[in-house]
Amino acid sequence: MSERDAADLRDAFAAVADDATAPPMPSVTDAAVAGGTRIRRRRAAAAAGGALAVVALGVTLAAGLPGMGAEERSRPATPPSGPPASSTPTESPAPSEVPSWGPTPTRSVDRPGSPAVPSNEGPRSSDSG
Amino acid sequence: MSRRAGWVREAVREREFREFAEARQADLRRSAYLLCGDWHQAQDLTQTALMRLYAAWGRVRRDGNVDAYARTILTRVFIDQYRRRAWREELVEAVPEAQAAPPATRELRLVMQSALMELPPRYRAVLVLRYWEDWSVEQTAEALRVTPGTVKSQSARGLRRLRQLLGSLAHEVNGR
Repeated sequence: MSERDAADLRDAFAAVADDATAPPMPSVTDAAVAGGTRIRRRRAAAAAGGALAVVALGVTLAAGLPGMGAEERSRPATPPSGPPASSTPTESPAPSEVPSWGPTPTRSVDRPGSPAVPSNEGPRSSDSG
Repeated sequence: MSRRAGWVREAVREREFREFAEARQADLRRSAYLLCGDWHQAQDLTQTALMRLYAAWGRVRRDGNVDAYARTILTRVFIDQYRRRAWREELVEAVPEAQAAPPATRELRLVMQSALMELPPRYRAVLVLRYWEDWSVEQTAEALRVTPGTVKSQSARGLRRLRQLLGSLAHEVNGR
């Protein structure tokens, strides 16, 4: 397009957009300020909401994951081998509840030098672990 | 103290924007009218563009060239509005150039406006930005979010189509 054509087109545009043909229009500045302020507030609220959601997610993760770990740690991996130290009398074994692996009188008689209380090194000692 | 500073900053920001808007809204409305062909719609487009401009005023002011930014927003608002109405850009086939003598009568405005409104909105936007706002191909491409090649091709097609329309319209006017 030549310079002349461009100038002609520009003149034509100017004729079309002649202000004289425009109806009287009020200023839009007040409306623009009000609308722009509304957009900014909405954006700020959305940003704050997003930040809050991120913080909430972070807090949830921070509280949730170690909590689960502590729970896991507090739970024993295997049942205790012996009676707890602070066991109640009802939980303590009765004198009659002698382990079946206990020494029998006949064995004591057979082996006079053997101890009265069996050591943990007995054949069933592996059960305690 | 900081709250008061923020309030003052906000007041300054609003005053600067109001000065700009009062000085430029007539020009923006004329550009909008060239795009849409209706003064009331042009008023709405101008208001929407200024509203968005005010929402981003701090950043735009820092970046400089507020006027170009305002016109970019205006053109994008216009394009978006047409997109929402699901307008489809009609492909204009290559047509032979019709050398129409520009109508030198008082009807120039009506003829030109009719021809302009016959163009697909995107072509219209390209022609207005290139030949009314006098923007470069690159500036126009950035404003319309297309490639410079697209601007060139749409500009050429739009001009060809405009010439054709002006030729037929001028013929109608002269034939009366």
